Amino acid sequence: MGLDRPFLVQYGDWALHALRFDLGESYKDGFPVAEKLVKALRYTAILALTSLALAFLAALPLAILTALHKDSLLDDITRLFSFAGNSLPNFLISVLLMYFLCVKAHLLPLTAKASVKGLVMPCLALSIPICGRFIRQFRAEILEQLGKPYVSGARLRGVKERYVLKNVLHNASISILTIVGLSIGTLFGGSVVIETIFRWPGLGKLAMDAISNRDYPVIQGFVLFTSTVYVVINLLIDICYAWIDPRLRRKGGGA
Amino acid sequence: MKKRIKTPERNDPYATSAADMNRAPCAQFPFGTDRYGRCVCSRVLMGARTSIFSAVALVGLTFLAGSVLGLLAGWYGGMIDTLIMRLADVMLAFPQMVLAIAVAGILGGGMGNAMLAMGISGWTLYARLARAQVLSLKEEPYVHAARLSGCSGWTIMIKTLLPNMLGPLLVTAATQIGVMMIGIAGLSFLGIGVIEPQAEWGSMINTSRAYLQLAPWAVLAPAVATIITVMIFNYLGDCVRDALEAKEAET
Repeated sequence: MGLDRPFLVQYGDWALHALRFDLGESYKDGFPVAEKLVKALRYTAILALTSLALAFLAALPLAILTALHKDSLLDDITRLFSFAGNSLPNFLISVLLMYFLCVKAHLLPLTAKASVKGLVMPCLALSIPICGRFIRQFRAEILEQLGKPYVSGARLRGVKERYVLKNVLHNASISILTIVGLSIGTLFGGSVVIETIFRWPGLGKLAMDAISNRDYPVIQGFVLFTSTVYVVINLLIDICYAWIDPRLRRKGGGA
Repeated sequence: MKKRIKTPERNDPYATSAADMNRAPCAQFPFGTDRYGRCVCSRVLMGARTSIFSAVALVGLTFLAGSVLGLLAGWYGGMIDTLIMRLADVMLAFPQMVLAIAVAGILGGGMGNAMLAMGISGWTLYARLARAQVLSLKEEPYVHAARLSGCSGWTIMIKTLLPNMLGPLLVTAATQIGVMMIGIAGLSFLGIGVIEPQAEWGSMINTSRAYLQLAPWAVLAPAVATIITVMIFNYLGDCVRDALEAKEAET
């Protein structure tokens, strides 16, 4: 395995091979690391995308409602929820969910055998903190848009509230997209914890197993792979900006 | 009443006892005992020291390092700026927790390593903010005045720039305490933070998780402690932000 060579030589060798998409082989079972990562990516993608969709679909209507009815009872309750969600570490939510849904109510299986029923708890645990943050930030953004002159202008002209809201959402979509993009990192980090707890066979669990086995090629591959996916997603989001906002297209991209 | 407060001193958080395994909360053990018969209440109280101290220390260190580096990058520009900010960009290419898990995993357990793992990308937040602040403050008349009166770079940076850019940096630091606390507890929960038997909330939750059916109190006590503490720090962050924003609106 060449472990006797100097550290820098080993690293250079690894980097050169990585450029050719060869991430080496796992110390533990000899499987190519790249193959393991691609296989695990599917599960992480299912978990992360479902959680993201869940958080987004729950947060957006709530944010719109609370922004339109500021300081109502719903607003207060939502604010409390989003504050609590923001303060709850995802591993804690998992353990509490396990305790109340599995141990007390016997509703769901404790570990997630890659199935729909097994997906419920990991998704909830992963999406609650993100949802809390989303509601807060979406609401602030929509409120800011609602305070702009074009909204009062449209309302004065008697434009239906539905169309006003459509304009507001369109203008807020750039910021909303930024907020969603920033949560991707949280999602990746969170999935490591969640997958380990629920034994979901994704990237995070692969990484944690590799750490406990001192399987360095897999750890290196995991970090490189995750960061690449992260950077690519952020690039796609930047491209989306131009698609949403024609002004950015003319200038040839924003700052 | 006084005796109740003295409980943690009476029960050693590290003393194990085969006779008191998984005991339900009672007068002697207010939060019960864990699987080694250790008093959960004392361990939660001892864990507060580890969890809160490490989060506050980590925020303090990253705040200091990031602000100084950002200040240098913004003030000197050129090579120094490029070097520091590209380094920050490299750190930002990794999702924070992923990098932290990998670094802590490779370095091995221990509070110091866990803090290093979280801090390795934590400083970039302050560096970017400080640099942006310096760049906008640099052209202010009073900075030019300080320069004309012959102040050295360091004097201007510390006496003129720093007090004026402290506000947003402090707000960020205050909101980061909760985030860092969750991060460190997460690492400990994964078993790559503090090493047992040191009392820390994250690792307490992790080790007691296997006995959830038998001794739920051993999980719930540190869990509630974490939730309340993070909430308090997040609330502190909100308050600091509101206070500083109100102050800025006045002037």
